[in-house]
Amino acid sequence: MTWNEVRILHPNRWVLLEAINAHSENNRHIVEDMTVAGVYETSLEAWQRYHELHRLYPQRDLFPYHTSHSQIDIAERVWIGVRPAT
Amino acid sequence: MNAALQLKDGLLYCQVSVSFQGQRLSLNAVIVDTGSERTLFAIDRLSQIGVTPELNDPLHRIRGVGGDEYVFLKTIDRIQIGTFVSESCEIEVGKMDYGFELDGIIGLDLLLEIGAVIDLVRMEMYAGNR
Repeated sequence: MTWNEVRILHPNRWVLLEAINAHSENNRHIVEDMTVAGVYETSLEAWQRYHELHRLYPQRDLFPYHTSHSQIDIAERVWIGVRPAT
Repeated sequence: MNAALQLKDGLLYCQVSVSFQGQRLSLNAVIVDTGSERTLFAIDRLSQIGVTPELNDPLHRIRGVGGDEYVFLKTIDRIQIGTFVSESCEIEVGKMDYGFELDGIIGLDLLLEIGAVIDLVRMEMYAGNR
């Protein structure tokens, strides 16, 4: 569904979203189509659930957001990551 | 006083102190990484001084080789490395679940602000002359 549809269904809530259709443009992550993976009262619940699911399914594009925002605004950057000696 | 650097498992570590709303936390497992555009800290550590995700914190997505990661942006009161102090620092906060203990990453944003000189012979870092 679209962000507007999510906002109508879950007003003033934290939601955990999964991007179904998204792309990167000018260092922004643009999410066009999404599903709701969870609805929460508090930011801590939403972020904890995100961290749990991200650990289990690192390839899924899940993220927490609050439906008080009229638009989804996600800045994006690239980082190669840390690679310690093993 | 210069900040001491320590080489561990091939990464460059330094000791950092962070402050948020009057509380202060000392962090040891922090790496210096000129390859990271931004400075990032672990939520599990910063929550000890009251840093939590809030409604209007901007959301960032970090695209990496091993997958992508979402973090939130927070302005904290200060970051201290050695005697260098940076006030009102905008940092990213995330889980940092990289398979080994890590409290934070000092990225290029803060290193540029400091004007950091990284001396890998003496293994120390200090603010250079502008």
